Amino acid sequence: MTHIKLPRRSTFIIPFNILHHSLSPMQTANTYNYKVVRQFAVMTVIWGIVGMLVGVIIAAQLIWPDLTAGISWLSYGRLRPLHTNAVIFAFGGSALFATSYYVVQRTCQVRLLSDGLAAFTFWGWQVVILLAAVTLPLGITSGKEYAELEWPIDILITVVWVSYAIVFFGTIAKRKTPHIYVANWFYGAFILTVALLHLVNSAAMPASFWKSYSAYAGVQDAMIQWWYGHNAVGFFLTAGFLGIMYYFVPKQADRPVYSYRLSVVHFWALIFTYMWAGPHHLHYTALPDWTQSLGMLFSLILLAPSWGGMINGIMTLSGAWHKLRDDPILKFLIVSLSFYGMSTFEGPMMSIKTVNALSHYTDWTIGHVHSGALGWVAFISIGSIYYLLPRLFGREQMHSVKAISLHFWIATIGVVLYIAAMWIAGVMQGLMWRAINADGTLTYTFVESVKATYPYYMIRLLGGVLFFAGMLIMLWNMLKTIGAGKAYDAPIPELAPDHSAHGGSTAAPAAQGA
Amino acid sequence: MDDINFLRTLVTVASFIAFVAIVAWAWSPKQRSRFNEAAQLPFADDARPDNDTARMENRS
Repeated sequence: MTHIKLPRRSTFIIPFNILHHSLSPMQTANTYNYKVVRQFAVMTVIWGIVGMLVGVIIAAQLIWPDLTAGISWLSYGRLRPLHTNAVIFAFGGSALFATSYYVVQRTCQVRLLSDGLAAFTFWGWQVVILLAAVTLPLGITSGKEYAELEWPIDILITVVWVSYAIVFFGTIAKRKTPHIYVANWFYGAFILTVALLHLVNSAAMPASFWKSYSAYAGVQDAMIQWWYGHNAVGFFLTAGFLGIMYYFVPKQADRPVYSYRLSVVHFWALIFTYMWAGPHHLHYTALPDWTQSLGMLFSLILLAPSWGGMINGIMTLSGAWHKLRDDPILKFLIVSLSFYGMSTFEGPMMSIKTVNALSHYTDWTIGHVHSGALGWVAFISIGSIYYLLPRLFGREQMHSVKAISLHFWIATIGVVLYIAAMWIAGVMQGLMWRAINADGTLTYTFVESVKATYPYYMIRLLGGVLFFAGMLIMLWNMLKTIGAGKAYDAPIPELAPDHSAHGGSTAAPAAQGA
Repeated sequence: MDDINFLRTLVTVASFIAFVAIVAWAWSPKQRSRFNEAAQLPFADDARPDNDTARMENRS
């Protein structure tokens, strides 16, 4: 296989000079843009704390409904979408921006396409988050789960996202390396698919500045919503974070990925199947039966690529398992894959219609989601941010490695308490709701199932508080690390090590514009 | 209506064939060295020169 050899030396020095003030033109051209990575990495921790605090509050509200004294802005129905948006799009989104900008630069060995546009994605995304934090408590919502933001904010999201795509794909286009590393394929799929999902599902007719109506009606609206919803899980919360996995696990383990060809098949298998799994959110609804069965079938098929990817990540440690013993960052990364494996086994099982008949509308779903969101998404994000912070602030390692370890154990106990409580609560609720007396009447009233759930809500709250406490430890560790270091922008290597058959890296670097 | 259903079937079958072709391509021995190179990319810009062989026992 021959490939076109790309120009080695940068011919793109000049345009950036204007955009970057803190460094001299030459330094700018010869370093990676770590500034935007730093900004997003720090905000990952901040938004993680905010989003999880709101989660803790609403978990407490389920136990003590009068907790927020009847203030409408702080009612459960308004805080719940704030929680989901904050943890998915603010915390998870910032982690994805930070890591993707870092990975695409380091594996393409070029600076980001445009510093200005990258900075715009950072500030634009922060404005989106702030608008969400204001409008959702005010009750301004389009009512679509994970797509609650009203149309003016949707337009801003679109502009930011298109800018993100330009920066990301533009950086790939001017890469100095012959290959596009697999992590970038996953990030690229995540960026493209989220653009598509957002545009289709957010199509709406505005009635006023803060009110719009969906372009779709009835069951079509529901199907488009869950096509969006499940692919938000599949591409925002999975493909993007698999991009993190394919870079940070090999780096932290100091070994290349277990099987690169498996990663290629993993990628395409996910792309071909995820799109069709959405209907499992609408079992036993007005959605046509065949569509439900199709959704169930594709959800079951998804088990194969999901586990292929998980095995690929975990087996990267093959021959170096001892590293897991004393490297808490690696613990975060590898345990995240265990949770990924667990939740991608649980998901297909729950998509089976007969299982879904028991699990749907119960807290089992909440347990499943948090097994994925806390165990997989948050763990791999936390691991990668711990990897990044010292590198972005010119330190050898985090201020306290012991604190990372403490964070790991507190968070792990928190997740386990959370999901175990919700599993038990969910199965109990499902069984109580379907229990029927000999004369055909329901055995339990709904409120009896709520009452029976209280102990599990307490355990869930405890799990959530532990996870939240772990994030506070991370904040402390981050502030200490930043305090002891200073912003560092790594230089782009003079020569890309050449592993191809072109005869090695003997060519002298061309003269740099000074 | 039959036409659209034919099209749907066609796209499904074509997608499946495309996927099988991708698997066959990925597993063909010709790709091995290419993939080995690509798998090294995360390490390619580290300051340490040419100690890849130590890390890499030609995984595929």
